[in-house]
Amino acid sequence: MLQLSPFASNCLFFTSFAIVTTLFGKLLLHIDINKRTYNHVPGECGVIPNLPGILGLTTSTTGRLYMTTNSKDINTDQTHLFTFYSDNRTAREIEIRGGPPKWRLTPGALSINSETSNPNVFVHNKRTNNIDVFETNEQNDAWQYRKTFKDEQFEGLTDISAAGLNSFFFVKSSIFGTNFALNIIERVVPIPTGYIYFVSGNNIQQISRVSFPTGIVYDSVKKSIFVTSSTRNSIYRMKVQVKNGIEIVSSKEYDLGCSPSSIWKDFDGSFLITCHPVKFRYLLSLFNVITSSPSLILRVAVPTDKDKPLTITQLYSNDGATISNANVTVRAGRSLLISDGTKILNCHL
Amino acid sequence: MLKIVLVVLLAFLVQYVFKTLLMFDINKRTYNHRPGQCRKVDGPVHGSEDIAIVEELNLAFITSGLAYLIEDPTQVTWKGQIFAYDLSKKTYKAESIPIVNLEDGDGFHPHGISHWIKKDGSVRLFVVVHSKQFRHSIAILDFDKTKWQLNHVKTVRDDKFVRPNDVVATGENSFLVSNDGGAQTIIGNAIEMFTGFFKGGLVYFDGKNSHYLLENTVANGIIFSRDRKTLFVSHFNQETIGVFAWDQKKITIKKISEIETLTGCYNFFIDNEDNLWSGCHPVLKDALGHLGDATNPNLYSQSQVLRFKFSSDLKSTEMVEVFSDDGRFTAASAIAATFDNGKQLLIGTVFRDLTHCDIDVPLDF
Repeated sequence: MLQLSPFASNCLFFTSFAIVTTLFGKLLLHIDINKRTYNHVPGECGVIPNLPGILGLTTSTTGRLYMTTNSKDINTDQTHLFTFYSDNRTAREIEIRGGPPKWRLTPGALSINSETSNPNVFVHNKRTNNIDVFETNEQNDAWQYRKTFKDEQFEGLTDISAAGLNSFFFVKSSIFGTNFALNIIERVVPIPTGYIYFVSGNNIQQISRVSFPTGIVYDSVKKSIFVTSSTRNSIYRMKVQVKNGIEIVSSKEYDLGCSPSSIWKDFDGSFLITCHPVKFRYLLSLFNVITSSPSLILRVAVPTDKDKPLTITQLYSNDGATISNANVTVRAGRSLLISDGTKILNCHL
Repeated sequence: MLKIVLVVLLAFLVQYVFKTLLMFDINKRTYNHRPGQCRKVDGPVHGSEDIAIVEELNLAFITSGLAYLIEDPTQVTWKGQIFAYDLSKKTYKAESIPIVNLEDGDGFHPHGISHWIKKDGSVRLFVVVHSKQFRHSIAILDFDKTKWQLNHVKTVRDDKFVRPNDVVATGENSFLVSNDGGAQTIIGNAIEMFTGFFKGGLVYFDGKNSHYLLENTVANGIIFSRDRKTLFVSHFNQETIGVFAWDQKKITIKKISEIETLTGCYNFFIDNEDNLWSGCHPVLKDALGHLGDATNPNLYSQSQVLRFKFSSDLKSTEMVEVFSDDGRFTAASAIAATFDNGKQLLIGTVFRDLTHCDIDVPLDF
């Protein structure tokens, strides 16, 4: 037993006390114990009937909205692809043509590339943990299978953003994707355990580490990727360029003030972001202590000038009674679609 | 033994610092949104702290030119005024009403306001007034519609009007006054805030005498429900709203509930459907910075308009955020009042201009 002098032991105690107290205080502030939501709708809102929740959502340049849905029955594996028509709020199932023998698709995250007249859709196939690419035909709501990207790194993929006909970015939120307790720690403690990858042809390249990324968007006009970090309450803008592979030229982090769970790029270049405004209620709902937690939808414009702040507008806010833990949002015409995984809320803008 | 005392003291200090940080809302922010088209109203530029809407006249009275916690009277270069705003048409222009027979015209800096319809149908206004030396009184003014002026009737001064903030009329000569603290200086107010020993409260004046209904708290905005059976009190520093049952015959209050808003709500308005409206300050540290140096245009703080729909037992409420701004458009909202069957909204600020908004979004969903 090391014998410390009384003075040294006092110093050690008070220093440890200060460090532990500071960390605990920061943690309490971090999980938003003094925050709450106030309800706000942009227009008339209603739940779309007879339609399960959204797992993935994307649009083509023509405004065509594609979404993947899951069944409310968790035991069955009935995931489907739909085209959504916002004018009459109906959905039509997509026919998939081609594909390898015995191939089945369980779609997760998806993204669209509009370089050709028939946009290509990149879909994370959660059954095979591959990325399947389809060529769309918007005349008859059919997708033609084109190819598959295979890599073991696709396991645990959170979001994907197409960069070209044969290239895309994707993020993985965590190292411990399947371990619930460790995953919770990763959601709360802001250490960069998440990954950002770039895939081009057969090459896969890890380009950065971010703390719990939840969404990614590649903007070809700005030659930047935008990544939301749930733990840091922030959005990153990373300028990328192709040299020997792809590399990040510069990176800038902007504070959102809430915990983002998804990101979608609108046609004017702004982003629609879903957020957890009160983090401790979100954590409690993960542990099933409470049945709902608040939802928040923001429109975020990231300025071209690095020194200017974000322009943030609130589009929707709810205490969880109407929609809980919203995790996907998209605009289709004058409709704002919000999903929490079990239902789709349609709000008139 | 000494070490135990030191550790206990240290633990107390730690929790005190943490509570203070929470009180200052250091981790909060606002996200902008508006209920429809919003425009500034010409007229009030140095405050629109409280609004009294007289539905019988389709007129809004707005107090302007507040002087608060003044330590140097020469700093008060603005004039205290009461503006009238015609609600029947969208003129976006408010007129200052002349006040006749004031004792001290230069010492008139109005704060809270309330109105009462007299037996003859005319309008009587009750106004909280501070002088440049930060002396307090309640001015009773009668509105002369024909001459378009306010006739000063009486000024009420009382020892219990320690630091009045808002007033609500209960009769032609009786009213309730809220004190938002006890300190008369900025330092004293800071001490009150940091120690948590608030000296504000609620005072009833029956026309001759006054007595306390609430003591040792912060009372900011006060208002009655439409049936005048419920009294709402804003506890600004505690970020709560107190709901009390009011007995006009016995002149007593009984606490029903306390609503945690987690935002500092100022003055109140009750709409046609008995919903409570308030202008709030979501981030206290920015509000203190702005209110402490109100003439600095680079200092502004967030605005928030909330509508509270109470449950029938008045123990819980559904909150809708109708307006939210980071301060660059509307700084430090203090009052929100609706008219035109809830289709239009007036937002008053503590030390800045008045905002007039249309309400194009649904509030019940």
